[in-house]
Amino acid sequence: MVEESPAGIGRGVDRREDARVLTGNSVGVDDRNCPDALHAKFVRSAHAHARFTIDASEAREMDGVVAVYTATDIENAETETPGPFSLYGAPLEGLPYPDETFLQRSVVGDKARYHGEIIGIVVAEARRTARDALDAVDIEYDVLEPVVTAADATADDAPAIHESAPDNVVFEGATGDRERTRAQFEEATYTVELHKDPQRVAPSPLEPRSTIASYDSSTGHLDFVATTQIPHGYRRLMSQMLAVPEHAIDVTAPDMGGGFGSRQHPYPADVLVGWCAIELEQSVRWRATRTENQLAENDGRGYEGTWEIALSEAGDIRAVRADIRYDLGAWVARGGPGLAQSGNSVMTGLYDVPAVYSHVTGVVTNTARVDAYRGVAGTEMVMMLERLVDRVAKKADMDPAEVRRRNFVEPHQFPYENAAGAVYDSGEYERNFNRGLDAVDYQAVQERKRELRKEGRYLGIGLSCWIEGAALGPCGELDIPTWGYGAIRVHPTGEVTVYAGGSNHGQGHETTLAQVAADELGIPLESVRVVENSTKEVGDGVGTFASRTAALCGSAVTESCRKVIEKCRDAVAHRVKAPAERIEFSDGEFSIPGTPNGSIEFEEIAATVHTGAEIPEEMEPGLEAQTYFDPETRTWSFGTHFAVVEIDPATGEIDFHDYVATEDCGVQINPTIVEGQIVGGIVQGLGQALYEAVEYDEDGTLRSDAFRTERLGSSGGYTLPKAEQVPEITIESTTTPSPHTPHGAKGTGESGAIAAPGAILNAIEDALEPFDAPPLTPPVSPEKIWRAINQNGEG
Amino acid sequence: MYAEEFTYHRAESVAEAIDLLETQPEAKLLAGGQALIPAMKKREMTPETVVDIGNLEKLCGIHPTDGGVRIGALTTHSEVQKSTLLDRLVPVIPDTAAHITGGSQVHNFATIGGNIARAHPGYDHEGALLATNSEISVRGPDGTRRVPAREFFHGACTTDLAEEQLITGVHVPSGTGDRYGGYAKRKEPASGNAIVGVATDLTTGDDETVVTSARLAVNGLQPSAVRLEAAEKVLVNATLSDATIDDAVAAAGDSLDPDRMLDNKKASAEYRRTLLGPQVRKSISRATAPLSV
Repeated sequence: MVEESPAGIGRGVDRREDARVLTGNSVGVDDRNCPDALHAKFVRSAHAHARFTIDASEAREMDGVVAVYTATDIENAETETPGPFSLYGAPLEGLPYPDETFLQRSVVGDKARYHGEIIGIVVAEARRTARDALDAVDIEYDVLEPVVTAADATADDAPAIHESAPDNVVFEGATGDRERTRAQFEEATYTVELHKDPQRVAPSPLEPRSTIASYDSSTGHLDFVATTQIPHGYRRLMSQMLAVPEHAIDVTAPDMGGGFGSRQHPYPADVLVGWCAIELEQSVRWRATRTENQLAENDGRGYEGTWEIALSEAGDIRAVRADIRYDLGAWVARGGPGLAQSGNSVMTGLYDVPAVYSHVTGVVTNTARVDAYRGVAGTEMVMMLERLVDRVAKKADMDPAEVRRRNFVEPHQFPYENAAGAVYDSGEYERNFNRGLDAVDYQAVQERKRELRKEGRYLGIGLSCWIEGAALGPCGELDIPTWGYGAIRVHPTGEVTVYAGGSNHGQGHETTLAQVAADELGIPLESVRVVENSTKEVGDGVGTFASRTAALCGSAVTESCRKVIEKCRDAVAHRVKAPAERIEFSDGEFSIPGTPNGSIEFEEIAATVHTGAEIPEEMEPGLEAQTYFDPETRTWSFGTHFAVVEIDPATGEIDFHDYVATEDCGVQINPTIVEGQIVGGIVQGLGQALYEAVEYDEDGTLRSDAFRTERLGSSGGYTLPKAEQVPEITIESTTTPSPHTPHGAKGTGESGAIAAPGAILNAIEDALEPFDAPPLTPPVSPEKIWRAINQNGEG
Repeated sequence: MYAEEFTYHRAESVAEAIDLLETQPEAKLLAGGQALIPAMKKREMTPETVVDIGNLEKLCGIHPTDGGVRIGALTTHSEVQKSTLLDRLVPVIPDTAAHITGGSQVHNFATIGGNIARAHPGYDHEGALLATNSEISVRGPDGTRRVPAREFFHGACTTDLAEEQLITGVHVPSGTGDRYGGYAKRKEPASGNAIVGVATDLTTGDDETVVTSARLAVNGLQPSAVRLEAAEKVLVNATLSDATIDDAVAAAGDSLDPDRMLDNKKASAEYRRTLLGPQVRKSISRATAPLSV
């Protein structure tokens, strides 16, 4: 099925995107020219929880200020008031949707519920004018007591953020069998419990959020250029919220330098820029400063609670249990609640575990929204599971690698339904695991660790098996479409344009989807170009998130190519007057085996079909096809990460000795791009393990609003990992094709972020084992390690 | 950049710069702009007047003098790092500049004058200037004066500079004998500033294993840099060896005022104190590497 062709599937060809992206020639939203656009700036609440009144009279008088809108102004204006945001789906199976009152509105008029919430808009002729006008808007606050953490929010006397949730609980539910799990825990020989403190992280794409909206009142057309991962989805949602027909809206997403899940929905700012464009019948543009972006863009993670594991005498994992408090932020974000389900579905990782129970309570706090971030809730579930596996193995005096191996789901068990109800498609876990063990030389590292301890040096090795449910499906699971859209048009020259319904923002689709088409059609890579990121140019789509493109758009592109090939085959059959079944297609050529007539190249027959010459009567001319690919199930990639670190006991400093990552995402379209995805994810996982934490003050003020600050006494900034901090990474892959995609590829992209935190934490705690230190809470700084060693307490 | 409105003046001479500082409302100097411009962008600093001294040739350059070497206030970190003269005469200073955060883009603009005028506790030059017994040339309406480094740095972002004064240069005295120097820094991962940074300035005489002078200073530990006199005592007139270095490391914090330790979200006082010994060791080792002790 999938043969290696010069630049087809399986080749690590250089990315087409790289030249412009690496030389500073990528074009972001804010780089776009729109000379007649007005500039918007948002009035944002300075307080986490406060009633307020706004007096914008002085700002309105300023030269160059076109308008200042508060919630009241928007309601009173002619243009329809934007509707509320909607949700992807319910939090857990069987649970109702969170109440409508928890869905965010684009602008609030009664009270602000998080630092940075939009309470007004200034529109001016120049960006600077808009900025100056912000200072002239007079706001009086009646500050209310905020609740900043989920623990605070659920305390007895906590103030209610929303009237409809007096206890700040927005949903509560569970996955799994509580009784069965309880019974397993009672019978198990070894159990371990581990608590997780909250840690929120900021996805931090390269370009801060930005939106340009243009409204043509004569045609009623609304055009967006925006930092979004979902052009077609954005159009759909803008249509709903702004009451403009979908066919009258267009959305384009230029280079934005990543989204990582934070841009798989629009934001209040997007809606309001669109609203202003309609109201003013002009182009309006806005871009966030970095500070504003850190303030108002969705955070990721948000879980805290207690996880437990139960192990039998022989070393079988009998049950996993979790009691989780999920900090949702002040409003329930579009994808936020649904992540509870996706997290629970992977709580057993790669292991065959008979019983699970995970109870999740969704809580609102006076902070920005929490939603998807690479790995989503699966990251927290996998991290805690893998930490528990290491701990319970050690408690049972067993090798952590052995415990993992003996509990893996075995090849003959696929398709495998885990105790949380997720159905894994295919896998060869042990084979892949062994590749990693060899690459890191596991036994040798364990031996070296023992030797070094005698010298007062502390080495540690940490493992983290990971699973990634990539490419959501089948359709109907969520309240959004999840199919993949891929169309191809063959030009008379035989060159091909691929139209993909995703949105490339760093994943290399311009390259990979071209490889898919080139491979199917047997034509040179240079003959294929990919068009994406635009509702103007691509008929339909869902967007790019949840590692969906290879499996969904890629499959749709493959199927469209096959439709085209079938049409060509029929045309060839007609031309050579032979039955279509006898005509073979291989390496870009149609031929009849055993005939001396030779073959007909794809480009040649394509030209014929295009003009309509020599084609069967019932066949239409033209050569194009589109496909909406609806998978039978999501695909499940897997692997293991192995981190080897040394800790300096005097200072707590961490030095990486090795980092091995194994990956199995089925057939790899472009191994170089897969490696890039893994490395990028590992860097973000490293960030979560060692550096990153969104920081809110007690009064709910966001402190981590810059990547770097020299404010005396501060933490120094929101700490993104730097290149010098990233270890050398060795990647080993195995290929277990997906049975559900035509080319065998599974989704990939989030594995690094999912696996790295657990591997790194396990490695550090393995190194610290002689010190009997308490569990560490990420981000794990050298000071935290030093305290754990020296004071038997955490800093 | 959405700074609040300001008036911009380009000074054509030091005298004009001083005059502008005296006469213009709320005036701030612009040299490399690496601290000022980010602060103005965020409106954390809102000077009414910006006096650009970037063009003042007199403040540029590294020149040998009778007593040592003079580094003009506008000398960039790049120039300091690359200076073979400094590397020969007082190696701790170029080594320190090499550890300043920001990479080549920042180093090509940021100046030694701007760096020490700001005197941020996490910055890197203070310790090296203390350790080398340097003097800072300051000029104002009343004329020029030279301030010993130990009198120049008062505390966190506080120096001896009055509002109408500017730094014109740094005078680093020569040592006698062979001079060695090194800077070892534990970086705060977000800002790249020093949590603890130790500068070592050492000379040896005819017998290259015997230390004839030793001055060590640490920044990041306290609001301004301080000398590590207890460690110095161990090293002076001692023969360089592992044992001597161990003793110096052990003694390092002895002379320090425990009440002045910085204690904040970057690192606690206790932890900074713990880092001191290892950083002293690294700094001395770095300085003495050419001696292969």
